[in-house]
Amino acid sequence: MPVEPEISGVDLVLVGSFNPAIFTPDWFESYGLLPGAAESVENAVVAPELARFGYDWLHLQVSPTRFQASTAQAPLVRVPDLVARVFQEQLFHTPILAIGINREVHMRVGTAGEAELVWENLAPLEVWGGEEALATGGTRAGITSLAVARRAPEGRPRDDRINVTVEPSVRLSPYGIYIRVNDHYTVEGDPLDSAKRAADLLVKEFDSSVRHSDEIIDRTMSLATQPEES
Amino acid sequence: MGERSRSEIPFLKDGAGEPPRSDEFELTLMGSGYGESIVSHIGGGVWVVVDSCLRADGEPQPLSYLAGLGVSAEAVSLIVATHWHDDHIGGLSRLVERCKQARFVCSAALAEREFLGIVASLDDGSVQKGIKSGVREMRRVFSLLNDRRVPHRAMANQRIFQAGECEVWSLSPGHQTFNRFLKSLAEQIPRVGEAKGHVLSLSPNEVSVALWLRAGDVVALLGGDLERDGWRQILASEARPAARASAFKVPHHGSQNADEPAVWEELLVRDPVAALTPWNLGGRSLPLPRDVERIVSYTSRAYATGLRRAPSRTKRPPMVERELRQRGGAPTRTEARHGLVRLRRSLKGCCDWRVETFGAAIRLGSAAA
Amino acid sequence: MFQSGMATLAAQCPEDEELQESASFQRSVGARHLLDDEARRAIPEAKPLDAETAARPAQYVAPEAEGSGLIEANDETGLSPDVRSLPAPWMERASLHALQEWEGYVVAIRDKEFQARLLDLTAEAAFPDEEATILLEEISDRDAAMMRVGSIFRWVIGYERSPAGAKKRVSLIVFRDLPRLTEADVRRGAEWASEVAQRFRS
Repeated sequence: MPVEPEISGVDLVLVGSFNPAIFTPDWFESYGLLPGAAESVENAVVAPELARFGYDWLHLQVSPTRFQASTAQAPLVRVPDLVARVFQEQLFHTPILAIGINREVHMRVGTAGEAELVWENLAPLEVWGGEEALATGGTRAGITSLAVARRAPEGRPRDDRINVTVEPSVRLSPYGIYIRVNDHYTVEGDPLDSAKRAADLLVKEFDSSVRHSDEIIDRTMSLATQPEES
Repeated sequence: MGERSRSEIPFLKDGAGEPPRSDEFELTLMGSGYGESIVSHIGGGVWVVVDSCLRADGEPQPLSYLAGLGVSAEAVSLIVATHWHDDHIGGLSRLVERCKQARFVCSAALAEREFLGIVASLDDGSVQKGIKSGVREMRRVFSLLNDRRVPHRAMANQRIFQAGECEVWSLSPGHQTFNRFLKSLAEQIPRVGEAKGHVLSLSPNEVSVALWLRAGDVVALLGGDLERDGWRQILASEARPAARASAFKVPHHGSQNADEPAVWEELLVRDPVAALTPWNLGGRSLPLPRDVERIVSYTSRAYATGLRRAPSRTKRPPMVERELRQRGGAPTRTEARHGLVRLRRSLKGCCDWRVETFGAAIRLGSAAA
Repeated sequence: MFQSGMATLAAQCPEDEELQESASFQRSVGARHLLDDEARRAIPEAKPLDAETAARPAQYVAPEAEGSGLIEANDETGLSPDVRSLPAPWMERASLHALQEWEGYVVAIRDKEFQARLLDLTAEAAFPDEEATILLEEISDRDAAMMRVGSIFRWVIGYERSPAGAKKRVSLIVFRDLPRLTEADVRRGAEWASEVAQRFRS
């Protein structure tokens, strides 16, 4: 990447129907999915409507309609491997309707000038009335969030899409850029036997999805860091 | 005999030259150090492909070669998979898919229900894209073949193809080798509850298919990866075709394990043209220098599609290089040495083989080897 | 499933977009097993809770702690008992970004090291054409115990940055936790094998 991320990770989100109360650290440990989880998890919350805990490289959060597994530690492939095992080996009757492979990075640019260049390239302030018109008391004027939706690559279902979000980073201030690429996959067919299809799709597509998202991030940052033509 | 080295000319798609004449037998061996394939014209526009390997861009080499000659994939009438080792079936499913008129033949051991069951249970497409598994490739091939395009099994002393004056026979494997093969396979596969992984190639290669090709008066013997015991069974058989071959694809990359001197005495003419592909994996390589010495003692006309050179290293970002230096060693690349050895001669048998070498291919026993 | 619980929670947290979305989705899907086009359009995008807002503490109205099965390690919020500040998610942890990544498989195992064949993922290599000798001390004890010839791993080299800003160079080898062979795999395999074996001709 032209600018290496300081924070880099992936959120895997499955949309479907889940029972959060199942997803205890003990459950993961008992099925050999996360060794030692029962004793080593952090900040565990398990309730009928929400399960959440941190384990070594993993952060897990489950609601009745979303299963989310995240990591900020390479190799990122550990996340789809775990999720695939959960839904292929144990919860193979879970209805899963969609998968999101969300690639997220926070990058630092060096100076105020470089940061201004990025935002000016992405969305010129002039279009929005100029800096003076946008100034608010005490806070920085300008873009708070830029979002673009695009079609998924050729060959994927019609409802698949890629959503790119660019924002100032709240993790890296003052001159940080945050980019998220949400690669949304629909899981076609009967929801009742969708878990295996979803898990297969995940393992098959994960690496290429992340690579494609990294290319989008690279391109965005390359364009955003191009100096103005004099 | 004519011999010409055209190592300066890019081969395959860019410079393979003219296709053979209709009355010309061609045998072309291609390999890169990990991968082998043979493309053969047995007269009258009939093409045969034995095994498959990949170019660096992921395209099957035999298809690339045929395209370079201006030959359509539809002209391929027979595809043979001699065995299931990764280095012999790279891109095989794509080859089968594109050569729609070709009959597909594989070792009868691979048609056994037990082997097929292992292939299917180990790879349902869910394992990673990166490391290509021979298991996955075979599954894809079998999934492409159906009732309209049935697969065929090759066993010892069986004619597997005939077209006019051309015929192809399989000389192996014998029935008695099946049980040994299945037993050794069963010992290596993951059990229920174990992780699916990359199932490595197995040895011995006794279920490999060795082929005898005849077109007109010309005979060629293709040894696959068949090892010594397999050759002894062939030599002992009275049911095999009798005519001796004047061209020989040396089995198993010239290894000692696949050498049986009686093959040179009883199955081949005197001083045949012989060719082999090198093989490199895990710091090991074939043929060893003593293998080369042995082969050139059998024939003065031995060739290889390339030989191993000193390992090379890939340059990476400085931070990565520092880390690799600190751990005491970086990965080494087995340098891909793409080469091609092409033999052509008239079907009438009046002239001798014309040999051409392309890319990294060399004549064994010469100063370059 | 848990509809009444979700509806209650959503009613208590009108500002919580994720909860509102989840409750709305549940109402629209209900107990239908097969989704028509209308229901499919209601499927929310599979995005996480916006990570930027998630970096700010999320406010949930949680059920009463007693008897609810709620397990929370961090209870010292200083907030009123039924408003819990749940911890920020994964971006609060150290982050390791790979500058170089290989996928490899084990070719041979020796006493103190193993030999591996590597596919350079960073360079998008077409096939594994690199080899390396790796000391067993470079991998975890658990991986060393479970490793066999053919096992697959990822090797990454990159910078790890802590939330406090500390930065260090890291080389990490992790064996992949791939799906297990199941009885269903074996059964499906046998069915497919029967079908294919019947097609073969001599």
